[in-house]
Amino acid sequence: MYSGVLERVYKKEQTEREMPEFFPDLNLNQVLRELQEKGKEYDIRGLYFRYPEDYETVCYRRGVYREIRQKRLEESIGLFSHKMRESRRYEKLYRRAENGQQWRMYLFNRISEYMTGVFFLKDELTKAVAESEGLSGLLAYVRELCERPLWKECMEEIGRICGMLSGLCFRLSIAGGNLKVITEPVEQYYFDAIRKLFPDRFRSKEDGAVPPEYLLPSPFASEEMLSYLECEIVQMYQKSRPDFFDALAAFSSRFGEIIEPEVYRIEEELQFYLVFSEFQGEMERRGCVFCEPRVEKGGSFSVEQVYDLALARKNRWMEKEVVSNSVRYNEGERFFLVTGPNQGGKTTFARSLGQLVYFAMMGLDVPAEAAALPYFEGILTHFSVEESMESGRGKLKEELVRLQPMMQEEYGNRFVILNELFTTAATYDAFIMGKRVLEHFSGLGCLGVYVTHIAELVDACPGTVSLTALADEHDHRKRTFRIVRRAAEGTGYAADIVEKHRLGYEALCARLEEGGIYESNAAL
Amino acid sequence: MKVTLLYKDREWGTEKSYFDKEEICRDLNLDILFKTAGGFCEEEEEGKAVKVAKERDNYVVEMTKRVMLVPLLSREEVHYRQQMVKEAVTNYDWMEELYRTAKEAGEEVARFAADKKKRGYGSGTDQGRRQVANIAYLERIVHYLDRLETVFRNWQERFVTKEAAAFAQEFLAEYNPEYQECLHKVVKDIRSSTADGVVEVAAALGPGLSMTGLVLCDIREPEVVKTGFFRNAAGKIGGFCRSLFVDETKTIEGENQNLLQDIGAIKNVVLGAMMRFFEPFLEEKEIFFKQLYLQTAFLMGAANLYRRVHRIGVDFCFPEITERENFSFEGLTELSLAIYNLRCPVDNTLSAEGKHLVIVTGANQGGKSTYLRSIGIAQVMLQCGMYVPAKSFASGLYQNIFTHFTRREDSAMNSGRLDEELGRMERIVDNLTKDSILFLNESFATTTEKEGSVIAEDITRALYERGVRVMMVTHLMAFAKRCYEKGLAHALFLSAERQEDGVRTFRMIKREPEFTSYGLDLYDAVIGEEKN
Repeated sequence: MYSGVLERVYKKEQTEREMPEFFPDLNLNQVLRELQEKGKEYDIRGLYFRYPEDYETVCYRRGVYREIRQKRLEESIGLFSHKMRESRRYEKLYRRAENGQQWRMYLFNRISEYMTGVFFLKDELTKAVAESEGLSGLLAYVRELCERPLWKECMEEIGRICGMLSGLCFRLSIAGGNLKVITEPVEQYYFDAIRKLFPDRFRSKEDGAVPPEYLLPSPFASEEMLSYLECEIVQMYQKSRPDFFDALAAFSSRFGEIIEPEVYRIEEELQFYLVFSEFQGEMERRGCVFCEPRVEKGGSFSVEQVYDLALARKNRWMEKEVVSNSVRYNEGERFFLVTGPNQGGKTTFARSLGQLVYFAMMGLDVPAEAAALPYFEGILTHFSVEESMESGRGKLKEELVRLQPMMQEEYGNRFVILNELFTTAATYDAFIMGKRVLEHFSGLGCLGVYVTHIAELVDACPGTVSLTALADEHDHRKRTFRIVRRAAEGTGYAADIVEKHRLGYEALCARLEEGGIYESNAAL
Repeated sequence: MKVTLLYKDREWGTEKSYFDKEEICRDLNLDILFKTAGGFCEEEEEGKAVKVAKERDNYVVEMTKRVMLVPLLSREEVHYRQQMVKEAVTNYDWMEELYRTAKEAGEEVARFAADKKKRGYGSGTDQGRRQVANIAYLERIVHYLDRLETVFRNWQERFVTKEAAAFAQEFLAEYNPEYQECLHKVVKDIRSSTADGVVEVAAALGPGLSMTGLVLCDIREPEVVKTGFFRNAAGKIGGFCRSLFVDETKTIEGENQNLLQDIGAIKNVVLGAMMRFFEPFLEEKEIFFKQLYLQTAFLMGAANLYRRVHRIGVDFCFPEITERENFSFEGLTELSLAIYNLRCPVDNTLSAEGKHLVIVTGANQGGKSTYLRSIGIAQVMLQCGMYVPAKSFASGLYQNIFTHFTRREDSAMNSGRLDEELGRMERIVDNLTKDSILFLNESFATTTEKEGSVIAEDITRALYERGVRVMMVTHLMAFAKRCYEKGLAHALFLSAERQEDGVRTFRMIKREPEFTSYGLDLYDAVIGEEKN
């Protein structure tokens, strides 16, 4: 049994459909909302909740996405998906159809879309010479289907019935309340006569075929029920062309059960790649950079110009630049300790790393210029939230309650993002608690980011590196939102506030002298 | 097709007007010109003047203003516009006929567009009513096209300029008899499809056996029912009586309500599709008639203005476009004054070749401001392709015209008057480009003569050295005198003529500036006489 394009190993049931806890913290749900919009009728969210179970799965997905991007298979897969969607639509319609003939016809439509879709996919994948593990497996799977004798026979029959169907055309002549149905071929098109009035409206006419601009929309809204007139026409043909209806009946009894629902599942899984590719393309056209991450088991972690994708997505409407950062964990370094002024880009930086890990593990391209990272079994995040009114617990307790389940012994090899822990606790307490938390995760071998105001933690915990939000060179009240490797400045935060109120020594002197009320006196 | 009555290659649209048009209108008294263009026409009957006051057309006033305040920037554009104006002036009756048609159509088009916007997207029964309105509108548009065709065809042989003839020809070529016939037929078909006409569509069976691939085959007049036709059970005449399934033809009589409904649905789809095909056509015609209305309004205004002022006895000529250095004119009068006084004012003649600074000084009430204004008005008229009130006029083209006149009457100012004045000057300087012309009238007079002179000298010097064309009237004699003494090669000094006995001729002559502005004469004339 083919395992699908998301998993290497076939699993009968996909249980993980709940949103991972790090999604809201990393603002991934904002990205996901947009992906879901592109994915229309599919459960895109469910697909994106499927964090890979092992390193091999990361590579498996990576291979599929790379091949789709490199060989530009989006269009082919998109067309295949379209046929599958049509097939499912006809399935719904045939379940509701009341007229027996219509029922058979919809069944035929359903199978015909399905079959042509699968044969089309086989042809496209063959042409593209699918080579990644996931796609070559898919090709093998559909090739096996297409080579079944019943499938071949079915395709032939579909062709024959379509041929007959194309002969069932007619003209309706309406005069006042009277109607005449004529089953003679069409002699003329009215729009031929008025083409010259609208030279721009019509494309050049290909011989024989009716130009698409000539087609009128369907006059009857309901697809589930034939109109009175349509019923009359069907009845007319039942008498004059019984062969067609016999063929339909034979088709439904012979091929009614031919559909393998597995194909629909695979088609849905393919949307995982399609919507991201579309999203990535849109962002790239707006100047955002993506790259293919190098994920290696136990490899080093370094990234260039990583940015917050959710923020970039928001900002693209405002044509605002998003700040990107480059960092790396050197040998023996486990935690980035990020300090710096408020609104300085610390949280955004932490988020961007979390997103990077997530997209890399999902096998997709990542929002950065270059990235190499180890395989992580999971992502743990803890962002401070408002005090919960419901639980009635204090904020500190609230935080500890949420932290507790993350601090389990078996959670080694995770990427951990801790944002502003213990802000309500006394500084000394916070220092001690922070130290313990860091020691815990470092001891388990996790990598991570710790955003805090307590700069002293760097010296207290081995394996931590100090990063700080950079202020503008010329005006240090201005934020650059850039994060660099640098020792924390313990005073930066308070000085800003003083400056904001212009209460610094020099500023205060200048203000006093400004009005001429006081003069500086060197003698004093 | 494009309406190219104003520009050879494009329609009226996003052209840039002068930097501060309202300022220009106010300083040059242009409003009276616009109003004259909009109406009031004296007609002559059997040699004597009969005053016929036509109602003023505000649209013409507005459009004359808008078009006049957008400068043409190339010799070719001016020439083209001049030819159209010439046609409008010469073939006044044609212009009137064309404008009348354009006005009716333009107003109807605007009305329909406004209605459409107001209605928005209604639903249900609204849709049927809207379709009826749309069909009626389509018929009106065709009607106006027919009328235009007549106007152009009737005048085909009588055009005096090849530009106007070419425009008419272009319209007639596009709206040729074959096209016209086809259009009439389709519009008639649309009408008949909503009534008792025969509508024929082709279709096939699609998914779920529902009707698909609907295509319109024919719309025609209802067939005449001959006597002796088959009557059906209900006693009604069945229009089509081929029996069932002989040569696979089926007749269903429309007495069945369900069937009538289905037939109605098909006819609606057909009508909707036809009207959709006409959407771009109607959009195009909407723009066409809007443009035609707008462009003919200007030409109508130009023709009106010409007629009216010509009767006062003002000479007009089409100006000659030269290099900016070769500025000269002969017999130039101030048009707004002529209209105001209903007689031809004193004219002036000047040759200022190679001069880009002209300083006019001299007696108060000597006609200095009028003189400056007459040049300004003529320049504006030249740059919109109109005739000018002179025997001859030669000037270059400027990207921008700036006027800076003192506003003695402006009391609503809260800031100091010099501040306001210099503020205006700063705005002008901010927006000055190389090809600009400045008209300064009694500038910097809101302060003392001494200060004003210094300011004026600084500004003028800067402008002069950078080759900006400046025409100024000033009574800052110290400033004028100093400029004169410098012997600037490209400066010209004019003075209001004053005869030995103090009588003013209102003519400007080339002369060295003097320290007096002969205000004493005026003082004597007004005050002194009283004393005597």
